Amino acid sequence: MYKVSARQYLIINALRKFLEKRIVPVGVNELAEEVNVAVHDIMRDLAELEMKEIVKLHRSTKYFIRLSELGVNYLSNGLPEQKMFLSLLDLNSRGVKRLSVEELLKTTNLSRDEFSAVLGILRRYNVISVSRNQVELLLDDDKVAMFNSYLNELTSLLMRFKEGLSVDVISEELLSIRRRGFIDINEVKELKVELTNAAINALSNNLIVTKEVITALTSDLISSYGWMDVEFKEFDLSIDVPLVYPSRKHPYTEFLNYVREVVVSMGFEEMKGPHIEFEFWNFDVLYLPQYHPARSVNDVYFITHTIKSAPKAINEILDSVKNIHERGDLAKSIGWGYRWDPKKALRLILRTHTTSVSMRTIYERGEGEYRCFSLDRVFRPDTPDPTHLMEFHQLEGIIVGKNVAFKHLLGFFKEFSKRLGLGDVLFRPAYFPFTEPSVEGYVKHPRLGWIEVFPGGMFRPEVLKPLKVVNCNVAAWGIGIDRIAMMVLNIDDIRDLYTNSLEVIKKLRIPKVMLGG
Amino acid sequence: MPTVEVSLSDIERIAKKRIGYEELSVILSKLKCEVVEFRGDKLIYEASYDRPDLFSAEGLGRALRTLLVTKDGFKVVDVKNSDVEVITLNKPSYRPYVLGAVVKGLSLDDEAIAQLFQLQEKLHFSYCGDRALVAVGIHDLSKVKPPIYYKAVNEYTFKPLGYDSVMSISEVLSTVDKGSKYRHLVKEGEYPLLLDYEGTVLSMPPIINSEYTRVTPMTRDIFIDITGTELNLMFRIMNLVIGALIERGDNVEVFSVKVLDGSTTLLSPQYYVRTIELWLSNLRRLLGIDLTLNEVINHLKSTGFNVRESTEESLLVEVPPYRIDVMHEVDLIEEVAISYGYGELPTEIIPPTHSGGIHPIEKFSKNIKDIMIGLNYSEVVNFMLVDPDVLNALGISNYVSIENPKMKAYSVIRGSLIPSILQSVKVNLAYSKGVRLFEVGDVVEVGGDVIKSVRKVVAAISSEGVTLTDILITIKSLMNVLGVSYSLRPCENVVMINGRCGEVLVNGSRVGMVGEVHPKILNYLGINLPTAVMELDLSKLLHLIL
Repeated sequence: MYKVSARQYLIINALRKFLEKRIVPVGVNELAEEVNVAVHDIMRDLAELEMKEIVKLHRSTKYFIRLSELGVNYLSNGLPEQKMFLSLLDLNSRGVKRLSVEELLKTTNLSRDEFSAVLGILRRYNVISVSRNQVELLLDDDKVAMFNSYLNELTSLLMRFKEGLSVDVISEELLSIRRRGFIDINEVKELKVELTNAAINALSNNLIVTKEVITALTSDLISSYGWMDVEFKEFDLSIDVPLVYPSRKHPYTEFLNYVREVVVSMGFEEMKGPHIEFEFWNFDVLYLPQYHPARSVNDVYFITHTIKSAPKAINEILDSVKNIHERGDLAKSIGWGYRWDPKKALRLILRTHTTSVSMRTIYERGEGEYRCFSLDRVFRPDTPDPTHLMEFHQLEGIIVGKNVAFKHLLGFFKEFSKRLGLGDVLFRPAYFPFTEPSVEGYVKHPRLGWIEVFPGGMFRPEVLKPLKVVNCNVAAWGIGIDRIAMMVLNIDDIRDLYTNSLEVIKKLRIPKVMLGG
Repeated sequence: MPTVEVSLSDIERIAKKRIGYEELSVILSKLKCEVVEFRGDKLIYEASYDRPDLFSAEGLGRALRTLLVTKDGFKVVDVKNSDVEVITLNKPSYRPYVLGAVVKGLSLDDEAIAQLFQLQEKLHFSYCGDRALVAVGIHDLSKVKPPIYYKAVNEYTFKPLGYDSVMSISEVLSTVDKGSKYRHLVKEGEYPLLLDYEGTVLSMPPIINSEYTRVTPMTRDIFIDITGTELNLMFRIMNLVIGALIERGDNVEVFSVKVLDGSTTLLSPQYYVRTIELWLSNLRRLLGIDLTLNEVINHLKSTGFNVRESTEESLLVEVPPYRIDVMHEVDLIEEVAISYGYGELPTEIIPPTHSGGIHPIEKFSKNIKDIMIGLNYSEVVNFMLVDPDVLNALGISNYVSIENPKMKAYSVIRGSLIPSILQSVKVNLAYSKGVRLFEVGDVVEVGGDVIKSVRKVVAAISSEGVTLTDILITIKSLMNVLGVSYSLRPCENVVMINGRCGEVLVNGSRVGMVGEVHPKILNYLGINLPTAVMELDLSKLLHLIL
C-alpha cells in the first residue's frame, strides 16, 4: 500500500497515461504539462516518489549545440579557408605566384587569429607552402580534392547545427570548431521519469491511495510517525488572524528606565529623596529669597502637616544659610538683604524640583569627585490639560569636582541629547537663582521648532558654602523629562504618559532609539 | 518672569541708535530677555528675574546703548546733599522703615511716566513681596513742602491717585481697587501716611499715592519715597528706581535726603558704586576657557561695568548701583561668558571617575515588574495626587493633604496604591471582560512626626470567577522567584471582605496585604466583577531580603 499526496497521485496517473501511450520514460517537462503544474513544483514530489520506489528517475546531461553568429555568417558567405584558397587561386591566375604572409592577410581581411588558423589548415592539406614568410599555392589535384572534401564535410557539419541540435557527447571535432567560434554549446540537464514495476503492479491492484489531508499536527501523529502518511493542508497566508496585545510594561516607565541606563552609562549614581520636603532643602539652601514669587502659593503645594523641630542636618547649617540670605559675606557675596525667617524654611511642601535631592546629597558627601542623578516626581500647582500637569518627572543631575567647568555641563547636554536621538543643542543664557553661569539648552522639535529642554548651570558659592563645598565646582541641571518623553514616544498629550488605560498604552510603539536604533 | 512693554522709539532714543526687530531679538537674548511680540512701535518682552534693571525702557535702552554703541562701562553719578528731610513721628510699628531721594533735571513725557509706573509695578511683584516688604512711591517735588513726615494715623482724608474726590482712609480701603487689594498690609487705626510740612498727603504706603503729588509731563524734579520692613532691600530697590530715572534727561542730578528716625539719622539713597575683585584663574576654572586680561576687560565694559584697576591675575570691577543682581564674582564671570557668546563656548565631556549605578530600589522595582509581566499583568501608571473623596469612601483616613490645592481631585497624596489600581480596573473594564493590572509606584506614609516616601507594588485581578486564590497564586509565584519565604495571617481591612483578607509577613514583619475587594467598594467604584488585590511594600521587602 502506498499513501501519496493528492498531487503525487495526479503525477502517478499521468505517468500511467504515458505508459499506455508507450512514452517511457517521459521527460519531466511533458509530465509537468500533463499534470498542469510548473516543473519546479513537482520536483519535491518526484524525489519523494523516487524514495518510495514508485518512480524511477533518469538523470542525464545533454549538450545543445547551435551555430554562433560567426558560424551563421561563414555558412552563408563561405568559410574563411575556402575564401583564402579562392583568392590565392585568383591571384595565381593573374600571375601572382607567391606573396608575403602580410600581403595575404590584407587581401583576406581575416582577424589575425582566424588568419593563422586558416593558414595552418591550408598548409596541413598541402595546398600551399609557406617558406621564408612567402606563401605559394601548390596545385596538386589530389591534395586539392582532399581539401575540397574537407570543406564539404565542415560545411555539412555546420549545417547540422543551423537549427540547433542536442547531442550526448562532445567530440573532438566539435570542440575544435567551438574553439574557432563557429558554434555555442550549452549543457542541459535532463530528467526523465517512469513508473517502477512495483508501482505498476500496485496500481493495477489499487494499492496506491491518496494521503489524508490534515490542518493541524497532533501529538499522536508525531509520536506514532503517522505524519508520514498524512498531507499538510497548505496555509492561505492571505487570511487575517486576530491581533493580541501582550502584557507589557508601561511605555513611559520603560522610557524612564532607558533614561536611567543612559545616565548610568555616563557614570552617574542614582540618588533618592523625599517627595514631601522642607522649604529649606527645596528653596532656602538653593538661595531662593523667601519673598521670591516662585515660593508663592501659586507655584508651590504646601502641606497641612507640620514638623515641630528641625532635623539635625538643617540645624547644622541653619546659621550659614541665614547669613547667606541676609548678608552673604560668608560666601563673599552681598546676599539678598532681608531678614530670613527660619520658621518659613521649616514649612513642608511637595518638592517643586529634585534639586532638593542634590542639596541633601551634597550636604552628605561634601567635596570630592562624584556625579549623581535622580529621576523622580516633582509637583507644581496646575490644572491638567494636554501640555500641563500638576506632577511630572524631573531628571536631576550634579557633577562635583575640582576641575568641573561650565563647558562640561554643555558637553553633558550635547551627549545626552545625542543618546536620546534629539539632535543638536542650542545654548542660550538663562537665570536660576542657584546657578551662575546658567544656561538653557534647546533642541529642535519636528513640529514646534526649537524648544527649551536642558536648564542648568554651575551652583553659586552662596549655595555651596553652607554645604561646606569651597574647593569644588558643581555643574547641575534639572531636566523636565516629560517633554522629552513626549518627543521620543511621539505623544501629543502629556496626560497619556500617566495613563492607566490599556486602550491608550496599546497604541504606543517602542521608539527606535530604545530599540537600539 | 515679568512681561515688560516698551515703545521702540523710546528705547532707540535712550540707546541713541536705530535698532531693527531682528537685531533686537538677538540682542535681547544676550540680556536674558525673550521677545514676546512686536506690535508696531510696541515691543513686549519677558525680562529675567535677575535683571530688574531691565524691567523698564530706561534700563533696556541703557543696556543696548552700552552693548551696541559705547561699549565702555557706565557713567558714575555722584549724589549731592539736599536739605530735604524725612522725619518719622509715631511711625507704624509693623512697617518701620522709610527712605527718600530727590532726582532733579528730568524731562518726562507720557511714555516715560508710563515706564516709571511699570517699573514700580514689576518691582513690587518680583522683589518687594507684592508690597509687603517694600513699596515705592514717586512724587512731583514741586508740590511738596519739606520736611516730610512718616507717621501712623487713625484716620485722615486725601484724594487718592486717579480719583477726583477726597476720601477717608476707610473709604480708600473699601472703594479703591488698590485699597481692597492691599488692605491686608495695613493695621486698622495704625495707617502709614507720608505728609509734608503743610499736612498734604504724598501717599498712603504701601497702598496708594495721592493725586496731588502726581508726576506729570510738567514735572522736572521728583521725590522718591520707599517704605517697608526690609531696610537693606529698600536701599536696593531705591537704586533701581534712581538708575532708571537718570536716563530721563541729559543732566539729571541725584540728591540725598536725611531720614531722622528718633535718635538715628540715615542718609538716603546709598547710590554707591560697589567693587568686586575678579580673579582670572577663577573665571578660567569656572568656564573652562582661556581668556586674556584684555578680552575680559572688553567683555565687562560692553556689558556695562567699569574696570578700576587690573593686574595679570585679577581685576577690580566697578558695579553700577542698579545692578543688584551682581552679588558675587561668579555673576561677572557669567556676564563675560554671555558677552563671549554661549554659542561660541567650547563643550567637552568630562570622563567619569567612578562607574554609575541605578538605585537599589529601582533595580528591585525592575525585577518585580519583569515578574509581574511574566505573570501576565499589564503595567499602569497613576498620579500620586488623588481625590480625598475616593480615599474616604474606601475608609482610608491616614494621608497627607495639600493646603492650597487647585482641584479637589488632586488634593491629597496617596498613602496606598490600592485606590489607584481599583480606579485603573474601573477604567479598563469599559473595554474588556476581565483585567490583570499592576502598578509600581511611590506613596507617602505618615505616622506622627515621620513622613516618608515608600515604594510599593500593587496588583489587581478582576473578572468573573475571581477569588482570593487567584491573587494568592500571584504572591506565591512572585515570592518563589525572589526566593523569599513568607507567611499569611488573616486580618481585617475596610476595603476587603471580612474573612477574605490577609497580611503578608516576611520574618514576622508585615510587608503587604491581599484580599477580595468588598462589594460595597466595588459598587461605589462601579466595578461589576469580583476583584482581588495585593499590595507589597517594596522598600521594606528589599530591606528584609538584603
